[in-house]
Amino acid sequence: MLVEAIYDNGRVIFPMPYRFAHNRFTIKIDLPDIEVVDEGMASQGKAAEMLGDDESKPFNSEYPDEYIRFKKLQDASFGKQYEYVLGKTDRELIQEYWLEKHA
Amino acid sequence: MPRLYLWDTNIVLDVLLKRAQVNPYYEEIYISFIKNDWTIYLAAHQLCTIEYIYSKECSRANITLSEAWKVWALFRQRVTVLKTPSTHDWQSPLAQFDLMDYQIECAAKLIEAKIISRNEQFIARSSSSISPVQFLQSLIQDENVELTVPFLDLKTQHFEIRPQLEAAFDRTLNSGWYILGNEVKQFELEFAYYCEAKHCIGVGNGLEALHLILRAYGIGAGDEVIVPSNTYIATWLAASYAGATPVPVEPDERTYNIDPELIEQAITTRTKAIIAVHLYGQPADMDAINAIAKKYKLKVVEDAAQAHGALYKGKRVGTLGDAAGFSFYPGKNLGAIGDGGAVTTNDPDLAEKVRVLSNYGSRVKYQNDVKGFNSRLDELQAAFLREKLRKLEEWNGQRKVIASAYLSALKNSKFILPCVPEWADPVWHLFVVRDQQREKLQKKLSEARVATMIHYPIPPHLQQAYSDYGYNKGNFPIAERIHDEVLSLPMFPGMNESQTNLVISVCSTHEIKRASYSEDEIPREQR
Repeated sequence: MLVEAIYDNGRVIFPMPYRFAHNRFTIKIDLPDIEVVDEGMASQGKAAEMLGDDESKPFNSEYPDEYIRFKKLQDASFGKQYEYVLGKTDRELIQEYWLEKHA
Repeated sequence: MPRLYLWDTNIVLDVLLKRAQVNPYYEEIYISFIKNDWTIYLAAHQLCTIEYIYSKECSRANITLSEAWKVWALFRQRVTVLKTPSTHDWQSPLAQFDLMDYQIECAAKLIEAKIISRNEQFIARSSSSISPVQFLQSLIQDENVELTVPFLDLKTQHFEIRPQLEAAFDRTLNSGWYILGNEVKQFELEFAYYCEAKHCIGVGNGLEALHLILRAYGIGAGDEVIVPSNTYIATWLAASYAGATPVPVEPDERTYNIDPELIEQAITTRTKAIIAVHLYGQPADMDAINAIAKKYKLKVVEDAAQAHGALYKGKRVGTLGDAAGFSFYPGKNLGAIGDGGAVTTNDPDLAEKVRVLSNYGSRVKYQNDVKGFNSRLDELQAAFLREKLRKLEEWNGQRKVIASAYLSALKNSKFILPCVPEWADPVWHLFVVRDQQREKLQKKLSEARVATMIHYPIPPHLQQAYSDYGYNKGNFPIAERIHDEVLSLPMFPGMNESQTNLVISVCSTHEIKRASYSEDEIPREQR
């Protein structure tokens, strides 16, 4: 499957959300020559990181304080291991809401 | 003008519920808002849906609701709620397709915001909606957009308190009382308290404030009023409106305010008052002015149109003389959303006279004691001003931070920077530099997309309006020189660090010729 994506400061942004079978796997990227300034430097630079639900992504000082506070509170409330499990769609839940409220 | 974004309900829930499977970009989006310090706008009608789905999903995942609510409460700190407009077009295709999405779009259009949504059908039907990927792509494009610095940005300032301003509008509209009602009464109390004055009377504008003070003191035809030669023409017009003659006195070239040492020689037997202007937000030397006024039994009127909140020896402007006139022109430190003004004083007799004069000369409706004027602060502006007064100290603080950055970064340049005497705590209505090559500097800043203004290009004595006084170029050389050389740099609450740095970097590279007064006259701190 060939898709066009955007490289942005060490991350690859896809044009639409995908669900992947694994959190980490190899992809082939067609780098435009004009964008590669120095191959040696590039290899020592920050590894490209795929955007997504990557639990191994380091949670460190690169994040703004406000987000760290939010994340800590969310982890404390939901439990650190919490992962969202797909259920009803928002639209289905909104319909339930209207039924509950106005039935 | 920063970009504004409203979040569709699904994006908010993605962040709150960590829904990476359906939106792998939720974290990136949220973090980008925090990093850019952007507000997350939500339409009021979204809130109940968000809370319902969030609580349902938390229950499904066995998460304690009281704990989950803390997450939502923290998230809400970055949220501003927009009212859903009452102007519905039921025939709109989006309204016919999905009324909730239509209302979201209506709210977004109020502030010209983009909507970030995962709902493909919404995106397809709405010109304001973009997907998470389109949002992230736009961030990359933004990096290539060249920075601009407006001279003043009132729109963004008002976004900060939009809900409060909307509430003020609703409050006034619902009151059914639009002239001299509760809003004006409350604002007068609150502004008097802020200025540490015993009385405040709302009037139509700043010029009327000064004019009514002079009238209330009985100053009129045949009288003279000392005014600065270096000021905006409104100061002079106030004396002229009253029927008196404005008598100009040159400024102290360091502070641009009236030079107390030159006042005495302008006093005649006809002199009745001195109007001291706190130009650009910096208090005039009031002790010296008051001492002269006391000696000659003159009234001292402060023109505080540009100095809301400024301090002179730790005391607020507004009570430093016999009375003070304030302007609430929109661009002022405390500005209305239209015109407005006020008089402050500790003199109860003057307060009463100004109040009567401003309302057709009437104390009791349809009984007119004197030939008064119609110059009243209207209810709606008073309601807006009450909300903005609560932010004044914070906004003045932001101006001080910008001024401090300018003063510090440009101290080694050959600019003539503003001089702040030790007794003054100015509020930086304007940050004015001086340069003999002003036009070159202005052009250079303009080419770098930095807007500047000149306050003011022509002194009052050389204006056509005062041609009958027979003044010529050279009559007030200090004021003329200042008018020829001053340039106001951008200065407004909400001006960000990048914008300040751009102004500084352009100014720093400008080759400046010394202004025309000698090195010895330049304040020590600026050498």
